[in-house]
Amino acid sequence: MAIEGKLTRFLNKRNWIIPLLFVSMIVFLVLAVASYETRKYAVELGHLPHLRPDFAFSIGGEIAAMFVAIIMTFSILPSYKRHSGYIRIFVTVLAAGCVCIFFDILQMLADSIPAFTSLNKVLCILVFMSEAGFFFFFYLYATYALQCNGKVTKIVNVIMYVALATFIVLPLINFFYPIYFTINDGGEYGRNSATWWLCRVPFVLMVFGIIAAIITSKERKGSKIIVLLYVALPVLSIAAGGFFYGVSILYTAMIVALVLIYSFIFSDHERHLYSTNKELGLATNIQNAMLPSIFPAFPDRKEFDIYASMKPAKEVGGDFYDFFLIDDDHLGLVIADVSDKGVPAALFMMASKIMVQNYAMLNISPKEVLTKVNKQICSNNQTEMFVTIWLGILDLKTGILTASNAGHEKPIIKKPDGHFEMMNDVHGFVVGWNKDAIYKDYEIKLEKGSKLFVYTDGVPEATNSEGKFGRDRTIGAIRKYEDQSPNEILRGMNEEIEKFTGKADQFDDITMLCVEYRGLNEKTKNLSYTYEAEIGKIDKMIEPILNSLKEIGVDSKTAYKIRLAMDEVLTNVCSYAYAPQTGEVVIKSEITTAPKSLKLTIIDEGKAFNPLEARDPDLDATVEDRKIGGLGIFITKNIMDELSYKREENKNILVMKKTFE
Amino acid sequence: MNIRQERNGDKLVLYIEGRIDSNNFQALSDFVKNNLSGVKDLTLDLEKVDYISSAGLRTILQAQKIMDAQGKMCVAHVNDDIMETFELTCFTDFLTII
Repeated sequence: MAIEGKLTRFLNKRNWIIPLLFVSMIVFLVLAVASYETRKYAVELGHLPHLRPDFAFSIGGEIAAMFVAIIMTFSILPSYKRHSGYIRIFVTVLAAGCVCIFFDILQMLADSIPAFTSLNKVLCILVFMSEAGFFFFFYLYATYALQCNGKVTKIVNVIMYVALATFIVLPLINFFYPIYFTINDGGEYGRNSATWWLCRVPFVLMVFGIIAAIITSKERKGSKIIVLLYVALPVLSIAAGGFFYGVSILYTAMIVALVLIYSFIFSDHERHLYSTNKELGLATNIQNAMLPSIFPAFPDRKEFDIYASMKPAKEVGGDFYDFFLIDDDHLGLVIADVSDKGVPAALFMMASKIMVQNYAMLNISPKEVLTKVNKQICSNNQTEMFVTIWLGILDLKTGILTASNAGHEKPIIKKPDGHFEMMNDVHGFVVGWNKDAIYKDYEIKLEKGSKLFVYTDGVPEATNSEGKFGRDRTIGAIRKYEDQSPNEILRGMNEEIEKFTGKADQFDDITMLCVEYRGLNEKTKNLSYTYEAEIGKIDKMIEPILNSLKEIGVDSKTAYKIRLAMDEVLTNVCSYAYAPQTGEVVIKSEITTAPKSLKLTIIDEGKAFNPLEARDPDLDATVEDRKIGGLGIFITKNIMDELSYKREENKNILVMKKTFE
Repeated sequence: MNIRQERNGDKLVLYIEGRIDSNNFQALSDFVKNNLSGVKDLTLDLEKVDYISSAGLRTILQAQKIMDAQGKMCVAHVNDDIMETFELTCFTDFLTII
């Protein structure tokens, strides 16, 4: 709320204030009614004169007003702890009104009874004193309703505090000098016509204060008009008869005005609350839409299976999981937890999620991603929030998982023939706290059939009346499902956690991600054929291999190079191995799909010749000095990853290997 | 492989078509040995050549050596694959490639 005065702080810190005021109001009402009934009874018995009819009328109205005030407070009571700010002020005004009315009723009951002259005097003074308080709170409530916190309001507030102090003390002078009123010998109240106007000053100040608040407020016109009505009612009541002693409807009018404005503001707030709820719902939707949630996520990728789930505790949480293909062979895996809940955490989470993915897509290592994200978040982080992140990058070809952990829960890993075990990984500092935090990578090799389970602390910290789910129970639970698919594992875990917590509230988001590494089913294609070692047949020797490479998706540029490399080697064999006779050449090839690779073995039974021993051509030589020759094998060496030669059983065996990107 | 020549005084342009490899480099090699006398400006147009092996490279080197003695030579319209081979073997150091 707008005004953070000492008074509101005082009220906000004390949760018992509303129940206390409620009980006090009831006590005042009971006492007032009891006094009224006693007075009537005394009249019946003939001890006291009849009550003036205008007094009886006023008292009736005022008791009704007290009733209304109590009912209003009663409606607020069930949720008294949650209410703060203006609701507490509101109840305080109602209570101040009740005090004021209480003394007013007693004063009217005591009036014109000579025996009660002194009591009457005290009550009159109390009425004036409590009235000052009532006016003050009435004004304060208006500034709250209008959300005033400008300079003018601050100045008017000071005036009001001074006026409150002054007009609580001023009536006391009446004990010694009839500044406001006199009580005559008959015990009847009468005004001091010379200075009586003084007792109306607080009211006038209040009216002007409220008008100032209306003028300076930035609220909508609708609210301003309603507050104008709020001040108009008391003014009208005074105009209607308040100036004539006897008919006292001012306090009643003020209570009615309070109830009216409260109802208006309440319904207005409900409307706001409704739209806020709608926006919160939208935020939840946006957040959910940001997390990959269509499963199976990569139906055409057989080498891994992934599943993830998030169960937020509030509508929007600070947890997130994420996974994405960085390229064909690298899968990014993220699980993270922002140190807060609700909309601010959700915004923080979205920013973190985007940054992590963006940096991970640069194909840099997890520690570098975390270092960069941390620097970027720290440079702008004005909140006290931070985020724990576990980031892993899985090489889908090799099963090697490179990961870095920024203060997040330890991953749980299952080897193909083992059980899920918690892994003691290297931890770095949380992200968003210290810009110089250092992160480290670690590597784990996931064999085919390995499973990885990462989660947020909502899992081990799920709570029931007896305690926490805990790490041991987490491991125990996941082992029950360890032979199932990631989807089934997460479903099982969710069930186990629900079974454990029972009806207890969920305190934290429960987020889990599970990936199974299946690896590639390598397909190998072997070819083997024999040709006459003739230059004219080289094309035919190369063609089947190029076709097979094309089948596994090797691009034409790479195929060109393979042709060139094979051409050079085969040209050598065909030209020199058997010269001047002829012979045969055997070509064996092994082509795998994952990783895409080629292994070529070229065998001839010609003269022993190791092409790898040929000196590389002098590439820096000038044209005149350049020798013709040696180029072919040089080209081949450069194209292939590996070349090896052996002489066995009078055969030259040349093996060439190439792995394709 | 086909070779088409276009002569203009002491200028000669050879339009080569097909592949230059161990199987056929001889034709080009022979042409170079026998037909360059009096040529001061030789252009090898490789626009329609899609493959050159080391045998082809040797022939080009041979032509370059001859032309260095009697004039100049340049190679035109080299495709990407062949350019890579030129670069790998540092032929780019002495060839004039346009």
